[in-house]
Amino acid sequence: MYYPNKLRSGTKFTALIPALIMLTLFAFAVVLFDIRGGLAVMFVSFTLFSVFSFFLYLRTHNSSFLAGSLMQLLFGLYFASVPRGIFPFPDERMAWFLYLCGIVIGVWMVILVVGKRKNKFKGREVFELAARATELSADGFTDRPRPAGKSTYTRDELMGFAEYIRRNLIALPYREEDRVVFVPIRMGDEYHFNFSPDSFRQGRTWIALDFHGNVTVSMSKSDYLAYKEELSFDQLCSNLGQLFIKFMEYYKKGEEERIVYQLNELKLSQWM
Amino acid sequence: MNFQQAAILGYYISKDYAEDLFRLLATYQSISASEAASRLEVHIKTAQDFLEAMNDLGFLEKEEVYEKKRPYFRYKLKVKRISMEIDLTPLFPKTTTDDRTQLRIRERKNAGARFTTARNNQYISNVVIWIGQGRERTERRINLTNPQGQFLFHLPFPSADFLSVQEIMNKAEVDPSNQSEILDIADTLIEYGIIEVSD
Repeated sequence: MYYPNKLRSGTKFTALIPALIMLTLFAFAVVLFDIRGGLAVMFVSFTLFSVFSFFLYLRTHNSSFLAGSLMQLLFGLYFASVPRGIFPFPDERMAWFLYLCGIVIGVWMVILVVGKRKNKFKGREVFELAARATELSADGFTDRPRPAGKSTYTRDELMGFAEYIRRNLIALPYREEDRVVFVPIRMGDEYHFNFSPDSFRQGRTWIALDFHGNVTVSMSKSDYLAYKEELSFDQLCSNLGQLFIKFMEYYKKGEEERIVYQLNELKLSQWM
Repeated sequence: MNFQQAAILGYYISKDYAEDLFRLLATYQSISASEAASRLEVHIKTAQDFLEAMNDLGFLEKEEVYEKKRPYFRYKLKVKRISMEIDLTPLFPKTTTDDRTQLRIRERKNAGARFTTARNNQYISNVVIWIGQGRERTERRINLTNPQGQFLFHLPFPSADFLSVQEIMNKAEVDPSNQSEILDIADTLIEYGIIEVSD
């Protein structure tokens, strides 16, 4: 089914910036030194990417980042161990073996990323779904959180749900004393989140599910202004809360696949 | 005695020279402000203000005296006992079933107030309101009781439908015994333009 997007176009190419910097540095190193210098740049860059991806994996428990980290590490080692690299293997076949391993993991990556959209941060999809069937209404914004209803679940179910939401990059759960706060994350936000998860949540939209079943929503002004039209703020917050209540229902019934299916059904760009 | 009179009496009676001044008034047939000031080593204006205030409250008798120079006042103590009794009855809500609970309200659009949520709880802990314009702008923080915080937590958003105070109280599960404090915060926020009332 086709739904017109309610959010402004938000294509972000921030993910390409590190790659562009790496290629620029590589070119400079080759020109200023030789191919060995360029390969050293590639080794350092890929190792850093690998560390970054590994931290993302630790923070999200999403397997696509582990695959990415392994692939980047193998590529880094490959660039270091080729005959003209900084730590050449005596046997060139060893470097080719690393390269081959990198390719195999790369294929796994492509399946996860393109086929299953595993590494897509789905905050944008969450906001799109919340905006469906929301009426227009001007000047409705308030920074006050809104009680969005009640749900029934056990503490274990909530923790399991939080883990599922985290692993599928729908939102980032923050455990508090008597509730879990979910902060939807969008493509391009991963840098801020990965470097500083605590400051990441400041001033952002959140959905809180407490251990008594209360669901509360707070939408940030920047997220509200990201919509093309002035939507009813009250309905938007209510829908966001109801969306998470519905997700929780799916999770409780063991139908959590529906959550990802609904989000992926919007078919938003991988870069948004 | 009304609140204003009680406040004046309280203010002057709390001064450390008050007892000495009353002792002088009790000792002398009548005394002028300058005599009392020189006797107690306080400024004449201080003694004057005290005696005038006590006169206004009806505890002293004031007499204008003419001598060689310009006229002045002499004060005479009229009473031997001062009692302060304040009637708080008018401050209580008129009835327990106040019609104002039927007021239909919601948060005003672009109210400009900041609501702070109590950490990990389902209520608002305080509201910050900005009063005035430009450099004259001042911040007013209202700390809320728990029932008030629960009530405001359930206050309809600016784009939502109006709800009556009673409906919001029911939704927020606020005990009816807290009605007067709920109406008080609602009235205050209506006055500051944070809450709007349906026509």
